[in-house]
Amino acid sequence: MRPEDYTRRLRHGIAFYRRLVRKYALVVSPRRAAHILSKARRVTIIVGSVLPDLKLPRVNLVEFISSIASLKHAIVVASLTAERVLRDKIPQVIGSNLIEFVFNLCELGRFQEVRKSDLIVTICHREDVLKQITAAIRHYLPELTILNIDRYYCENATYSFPTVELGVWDRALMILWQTLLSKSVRF
Amino acid sequence: MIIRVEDIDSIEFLIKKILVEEKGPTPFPRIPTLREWDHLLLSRYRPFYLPQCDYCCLCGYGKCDLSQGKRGACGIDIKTHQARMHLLSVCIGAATHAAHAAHIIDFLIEKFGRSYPLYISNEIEIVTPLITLVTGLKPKTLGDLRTVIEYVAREIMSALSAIHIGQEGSILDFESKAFHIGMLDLIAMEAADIAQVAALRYPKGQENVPFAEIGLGVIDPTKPTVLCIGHNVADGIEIIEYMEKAGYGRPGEKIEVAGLCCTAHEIARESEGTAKIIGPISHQLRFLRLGFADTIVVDEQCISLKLVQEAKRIMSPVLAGTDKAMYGLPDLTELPADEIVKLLVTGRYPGAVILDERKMGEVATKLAVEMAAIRGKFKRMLSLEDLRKIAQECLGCNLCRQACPIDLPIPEAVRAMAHGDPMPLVNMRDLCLGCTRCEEVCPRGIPILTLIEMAYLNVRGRDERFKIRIGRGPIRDVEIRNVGKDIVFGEIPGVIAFAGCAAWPRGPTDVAKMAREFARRGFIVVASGCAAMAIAIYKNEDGQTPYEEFYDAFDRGCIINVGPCLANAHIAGAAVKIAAIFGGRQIAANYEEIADYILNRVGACGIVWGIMSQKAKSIITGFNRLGIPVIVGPHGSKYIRSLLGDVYDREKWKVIDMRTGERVYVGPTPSHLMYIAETMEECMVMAVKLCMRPSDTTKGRSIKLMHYIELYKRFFGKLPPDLHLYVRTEADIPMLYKDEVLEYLKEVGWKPLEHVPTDITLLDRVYNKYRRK
Repeated sequence: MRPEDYTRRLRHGIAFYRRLVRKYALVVSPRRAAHILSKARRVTIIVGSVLPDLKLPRVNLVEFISSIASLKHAIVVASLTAERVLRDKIPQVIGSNLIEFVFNLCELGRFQEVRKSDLIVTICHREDVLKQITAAIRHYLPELTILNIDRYYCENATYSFPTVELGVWDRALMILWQTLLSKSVRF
Repeated sequence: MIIRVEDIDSIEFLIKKILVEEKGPTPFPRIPTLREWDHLLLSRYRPFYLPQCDYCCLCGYGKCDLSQGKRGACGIDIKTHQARMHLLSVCIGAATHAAHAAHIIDFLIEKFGRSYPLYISNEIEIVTPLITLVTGLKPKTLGDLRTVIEYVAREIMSALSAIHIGQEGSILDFESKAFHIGMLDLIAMEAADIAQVAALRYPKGQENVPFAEIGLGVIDPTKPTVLCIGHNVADGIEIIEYMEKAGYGRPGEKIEVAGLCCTAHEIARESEGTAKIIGPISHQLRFLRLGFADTIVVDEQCISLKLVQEAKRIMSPVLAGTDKAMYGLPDLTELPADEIVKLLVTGRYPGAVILDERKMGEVATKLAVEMAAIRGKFKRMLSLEDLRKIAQECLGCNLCRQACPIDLPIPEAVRAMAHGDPMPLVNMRDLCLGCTRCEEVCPRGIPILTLIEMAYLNVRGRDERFKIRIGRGPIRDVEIRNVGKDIVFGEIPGVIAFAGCAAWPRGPTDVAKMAREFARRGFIVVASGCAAMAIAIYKNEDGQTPYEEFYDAFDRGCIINVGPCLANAHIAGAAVKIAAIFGGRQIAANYEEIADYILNRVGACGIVWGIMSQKAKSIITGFNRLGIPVIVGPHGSKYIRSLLGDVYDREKWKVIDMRTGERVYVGPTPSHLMYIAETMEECMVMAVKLCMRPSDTTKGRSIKLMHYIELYKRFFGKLPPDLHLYVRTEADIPMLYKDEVLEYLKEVGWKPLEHVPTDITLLDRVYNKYRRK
């Protein structure tokens, strides 16, 4: 077997294996996350209840979310407490209890627009709630790709930031935003 | 006997009562008996599973990967597996309560005899509403309660067998079984607590029960201290009795007796508040680290499994009093008390199992006195300088923060302490759950919990104490008579029951804040277990705890502590009593009808904010089957399941109008049965909403809507987006918001309901029964 054939087969095998048994999200860097975001056509951002409590030195989270939403024309779903602070910047934000939202999405087949998304981005969640809502989406709507850019690693997402300190997360979000804005996102 | 003509009516009523009550349709229901009711509930409130794990590891076929629609080797899929795991949790919870009940009833029978009467007070005629509702029995003596426990045990066995490979395969039937076991859990709890209330010196449901002290500062460390941890009072009773008999007086006089978790509620009830309450279960390890306990007596449930190891560090012997938790300690039950004390004082064993309660009373007391004399050095508090030195060991690896279930900024706080600033640690103290997962991962072995606790004590002092009313037990019939009408018509906006464990997302203060807000708004607030303690750990601007601020009669604007988690049964029992006393329904063996009554008329909602244990899950499931919705805190998402209604599907919210027999739409009330709230604000708004019932009068609905709108606007800054679903006619709109709401309703195209029935049911059987009448 030629070396390039071997590499091709190996790649193919790895992809196949991942599809078959991958249980945990792939850890991604901010630049990789930006790449995934830039490739996505329809994006839904799910914002958790921690948003009003988080203050970062570099990144204003409300600005950050609204900027991504406007750049990608994303649908934004927020928990009730987060909706209150996002409402001014994103008038179309959907406010809901997130478990109820996922119930409507996965079980009752509502929010067709969200179901058509090719990427779901999660940010500013409590860790336990984040894991549960991503678990439900992964199980009931496996065709959706989930990118978690929260400060905790979330195994139920498709791609996730690793668990990091607030300062590192702040910097990661900044890099993500800068990379997303730059014209050439290459890896 | 001479019967006067005017007596005939009442005699006829009496005969009817006796005949019908003893022949309810569902005495001692088996699993299939109430299946129809369960399926009715589940068709309206769909189980929604949030699978935590992709695998099923229950049998040797597996483990089986159930992700992405795959089925296991036995044919099970992920949803059914989640339903099965839910049933398993509920069985664990119910079995725990049933075993506890069996132990306490046997203990009381041994002490007082089988024929000891279950008399509570003149004002309580329906002594065991739940037992009567489910089984049709009206137990008269302690011995009668054995029958109830045997029935519960048989049913748990049956439900557990359905979990075996190749048995039940339907989500709905797993859920129905879980409902069944949840219901039985409530009756086991009722049996245990009624037995205790009747036989011991507990309050008998009266108002103005005495206060007890709660907090880490309630103990006088100069006195010998016996610390009881767990839920079962048998050992605590004997310790208090022995102390009195042996001349040590009441608890607190010469020897301190303190409790953690529900045992604390129990010994405080037995000693009329002289025994001390340290706090909820999350305070367990942090109190141990202070070294005040000279002897530790453990009974059952929610005890830290690190206890023996922790107790060794502070040289406190551990005495295990039940066969459910023996921790590998030697069983010394057969030895004479003095010999056991001698063996333990020498430190030959870290503790002992003593399965004789009387002997336990003697040993614990004598041991505390002996140990107090030699344990002085362990009661020393670490200085800030000591803490600084310990904190300097920190590498800043951040593993502790990653392990913390509520993401506390531990590394930053420890770093600050290393520089001599204890405040970040002090501020973290109320939020900490005391689980010590941070310590488990610390590569330098820093005792982080000790740092937090000692920093707090250095800065705020050792004098942390609050006041809590001791558990008052069941709600009296006369109180139900006074408020039944207002609850059913909605003029009292609701009954809010705080229950459950101590895994609060942001400390115990949230529970107290919610309880105060609801009481101020005229809700009836009842609390039990660790939630009742959480309410006490809070002081208002005047330095009063909520129990001092609000009165404790079951009436508008009260805050009541009913007692330990067993006393949750009295909360469900109060709802049943409303149906019996105000609604005039027969309750004996008439579960479906009463649950239908409660679901449609009794505006009650449970809040389990710090949810953690399997017991809490089975209690919630029992409440749900009875038609009482429950909200759980964000940790509840790990319970993998919620019961949610589809508020926009009008067919789901149709009920039978008892007057016409037609099926009519009444709005989505209550909209969910088990709901997970992320924040305190969301929880409060939802609790008000879940107290709405189809039977609310326009005045009642208007009051409830006013609270709903007010809270929603306060927390989320706008009118609730689903308001139109709950306004039935214009008369429902609260005056204060009339214009604003009308404008909103116009915007969303709202139309009033043509007919608002208040006498309604979900069951054809109930309609046929009352139509014939």
